[in-house]
Amino acid sequence: MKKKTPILKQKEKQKASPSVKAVDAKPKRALPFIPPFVVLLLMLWIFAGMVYGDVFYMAEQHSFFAFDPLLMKNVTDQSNGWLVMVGRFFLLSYHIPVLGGLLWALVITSAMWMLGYALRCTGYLRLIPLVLPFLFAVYVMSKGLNLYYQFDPYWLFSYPLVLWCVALVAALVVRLVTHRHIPSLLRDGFADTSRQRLTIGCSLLVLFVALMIDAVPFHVNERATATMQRQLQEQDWEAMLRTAEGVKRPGRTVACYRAIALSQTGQISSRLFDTHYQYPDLGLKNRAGQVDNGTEYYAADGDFYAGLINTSYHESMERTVIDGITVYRLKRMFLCALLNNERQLAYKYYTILSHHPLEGKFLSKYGPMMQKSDAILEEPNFRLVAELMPVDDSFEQWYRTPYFIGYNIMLTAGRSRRALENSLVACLYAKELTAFYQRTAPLQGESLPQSFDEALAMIGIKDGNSLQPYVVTPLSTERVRSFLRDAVQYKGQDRKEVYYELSPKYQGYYPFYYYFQNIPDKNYMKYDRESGRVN
Amino acid sequence: MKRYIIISCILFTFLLLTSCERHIEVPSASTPTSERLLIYPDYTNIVIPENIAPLNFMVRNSGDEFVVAMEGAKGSKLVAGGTKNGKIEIDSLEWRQLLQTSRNAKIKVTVYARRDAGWVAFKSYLLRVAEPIDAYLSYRLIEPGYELYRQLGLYQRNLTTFDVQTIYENNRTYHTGENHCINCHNYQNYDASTMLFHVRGNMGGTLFARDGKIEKMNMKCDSVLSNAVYPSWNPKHPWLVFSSNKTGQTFHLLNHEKVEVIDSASDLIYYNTETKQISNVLKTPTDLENFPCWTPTGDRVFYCVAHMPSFSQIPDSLHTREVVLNYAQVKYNLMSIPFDEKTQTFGEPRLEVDCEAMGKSVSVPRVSPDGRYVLFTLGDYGQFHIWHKSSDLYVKDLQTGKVYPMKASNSGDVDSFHSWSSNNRWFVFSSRRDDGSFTRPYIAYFDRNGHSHKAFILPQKDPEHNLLLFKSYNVPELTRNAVPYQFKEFRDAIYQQKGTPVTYREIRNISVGNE
Repeated sequence: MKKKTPILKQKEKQKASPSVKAVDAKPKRALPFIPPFVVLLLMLWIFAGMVYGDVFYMAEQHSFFAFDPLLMKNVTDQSNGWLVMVGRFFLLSYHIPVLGGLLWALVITSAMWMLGYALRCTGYLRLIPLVLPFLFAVYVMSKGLNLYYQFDPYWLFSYPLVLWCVALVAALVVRLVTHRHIPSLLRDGFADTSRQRLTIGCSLLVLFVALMIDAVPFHVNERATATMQRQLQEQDWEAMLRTAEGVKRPGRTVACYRAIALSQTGQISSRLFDTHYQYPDLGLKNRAGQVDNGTEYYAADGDFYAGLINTSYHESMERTVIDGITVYRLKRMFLCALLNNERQLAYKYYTILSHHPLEGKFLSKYGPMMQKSDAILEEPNFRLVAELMPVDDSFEQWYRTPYFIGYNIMLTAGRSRRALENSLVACLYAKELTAFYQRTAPLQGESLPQSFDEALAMIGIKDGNSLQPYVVTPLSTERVRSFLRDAVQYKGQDRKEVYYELSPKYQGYYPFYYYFQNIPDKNYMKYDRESGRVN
Repeated sequence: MKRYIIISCILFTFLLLTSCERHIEVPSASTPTSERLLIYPDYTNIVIPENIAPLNFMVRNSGDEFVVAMEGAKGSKLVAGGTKNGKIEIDSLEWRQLLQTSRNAKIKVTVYARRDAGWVAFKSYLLRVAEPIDAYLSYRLIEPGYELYRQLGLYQRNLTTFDVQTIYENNRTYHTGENHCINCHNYQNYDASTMLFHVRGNMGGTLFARDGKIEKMNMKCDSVLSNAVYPSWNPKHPWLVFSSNKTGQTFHLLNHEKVEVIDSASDLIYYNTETKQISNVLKTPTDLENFPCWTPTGDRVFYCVAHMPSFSQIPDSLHTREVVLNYAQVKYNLMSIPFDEKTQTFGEPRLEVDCEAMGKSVSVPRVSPDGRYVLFTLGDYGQFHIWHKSSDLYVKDLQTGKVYPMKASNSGDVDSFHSWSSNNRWFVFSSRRDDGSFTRPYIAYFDRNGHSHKAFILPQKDPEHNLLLFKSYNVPELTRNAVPYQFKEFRDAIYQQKGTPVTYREIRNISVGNE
């Protein structure tokens, strides 16, 4: 016998009750039924698979899963090891963000559907299971890059899966005990009024719009960072620069990856300062819960592309010690070993990565490079990196920050013109004008890149250094004077505030950067490993 | 009828199960190949202890299937097989029988690979079965990291099987109030019931386990340079000599020896666990003393020393910089100092090996249990040779005074920290020969003529283990018996004991037993 759906029940009720009939005497035109859970599924999919897909992809890369028990021992030995394992396993789906997003949305939507059934949510109460996923998405975004930086991102899937299991059990119990009908996901199983349908539909729309606003403008740095890191893996420098252009106020991470792309495309000396440098607070925390400026997020990448291979390996190893094995760090250490011509060490990382179910593409691309000494240098991008490697051995401690283009301020001998340019740019970024000036001798008599020209013009006026051997345009000198005249009017004012006043006129101009940008934030000073003069 | 059905079912199940088991036998026909046999780990032509666990390995040559035939003495045989992944796991009972029947004899090993054209046989290699090794190897597992540490532990492996016992492990999950490091485990005279290790960071102290009790001591004392670091137990009494070091690190930008661990100051200290008194043995402003090691008779302590004359001309605050700037010129010599157990005093130091004159620098001297040899590591400079690719094992024959390298067991990469087996015939040491970064314990035979033989890596049940493990084996120490203390006992001592402070006692060093 066919079970009675709530609609059928209501129709019978209407037949039996004249009063009900009377109320509905003037039949209203009902709004078309749009299955809310299907809409929810689509919305979550758009969010997780597309809008935030790269962030979740990087979460997958900052995790590790293998079926080999030895490789997972550090996880399985933990008290919640099984939960971490399951979470990491499902996180693999984000290797293809659209697929991962769909799976994530399916798990959450089905969990909410079952929960709605178990909790007997009808009428406006049906909003409860529809709102919860949005709250979870907001919670995920509130973690920022801490979703996977310094923390294990397993919970991105584990929490929804636990909820899914709980909802399933609850739904089964309710079904067995009450024999209540399970509403279809696609058909209208409720006698919603048009008003209720409108309210539910509008609520979903509002929630989705709010989610998108939170994700797109408010988490632009997180998304851009993840996208740029992904593009870095593909060595797509132009795409990285395009991504960076979409960030009006880049954080340190975006600034670092932009600098890498500029360095790789030979534009670092001409374009480094044409972006905004006053890093926003990304709200990062370290494992101890202290404020973290996030340098360790990108230090290994920055150092690698600055030719400081040992330092990049060092950073990667330190993070691995603290966070455990991750795909991203293993790949970085593998490439460091190859560039260092440590092929046996590279083979170790290759072997570990080969136990990961989804890294075949990377291994087939770089694996053959282990066969021959320095084979990696046949790849143009890595040859560029090798050109930046120091000529002589030294100690990290003798070198200086900033990290985002390595910390080769103290470079005294380079193996290429690019190494010199990077060092000079590092000096400018760090506002080390004396160090910059001391290294400019090889540029004498040459046409200078824009930032060097501007910096030298400023040095000439500020410190009275002779500019005679350099090709500094008179226009540059005059512009510095003009800038100083403008700037001196704001003497004594908060430089961060003056920045906004002068920004329209001087954005991208080195003296403007020198005086009004990249000013250390007091919150970070305590934890900052960088020079105190710049952020 | 029912009974027949049940019996039939059981028989069917049994047949099904037994048919699933792969039957391995030596191929009846095979073609010899001149192709070089590639196996990992390299267990070809080595000397092995008669009590070692099965030497499982991976064949790296191509093949769809592999068979390994081992022929020992008195017609004893063992056959093992592997699939396409090349992993050969040997049955431990059969292995044990093979080794027992082949004691002081050789085992011939032949590897066969099945290929499209049929079976091929690689050139056979030999395993020589020699005296047993001390059954227990303890070590620390830690990533080959730089400054940071997180999860690490002390473990003990039964070398006759694959069993591993956790001696102590720090907190598995990050906790600012709990994070701590453990290091320098050390035993008295190959007996694991008397041991110690240090705890650094939270809940710091030195744990002494003796006579069934564990006590945490606070070894810091105003009169000594720093904490107690590298230890050595007196073989007969509950007395120790430690080095006390001020250690720092610096990181190379280009050098493959990525880390430089340097001491800006170090002394030798003496500690009596009964009186809980600590004393300076050698407290010298311009000498860096390190790595003490007692002789088996307990009447002499070997140690390393680097002379730093420039220290007298610069303030203490610049010592670190001085060592870092001249790190490649810092050379340690091998020294010894006599000890009088009646008075518990030390005599005049004696130069044992002038390593500086050899252009080398010494580290980790260890005297053989029979007192005949002292085994040590020589590198080009410094003392923390686990990061120095030039480091090799050398021995000094204390009867003849001859110093020579352990050529057969050394490699082109790091060969360092070592421990003797109590029967003098084996030593275990740390080597980075596999990949230049991750340390693995290697076992080498030391024959009666004072020569070492080709070393082999600690066998594992899964031969890929050493490739996959993301930790280094640190400070391998052999003991005759297993550590009798439980993990929980150590944990309780670390977490609950505050750390008894030591007191200082001045000892008068006199000239004793000095030739």
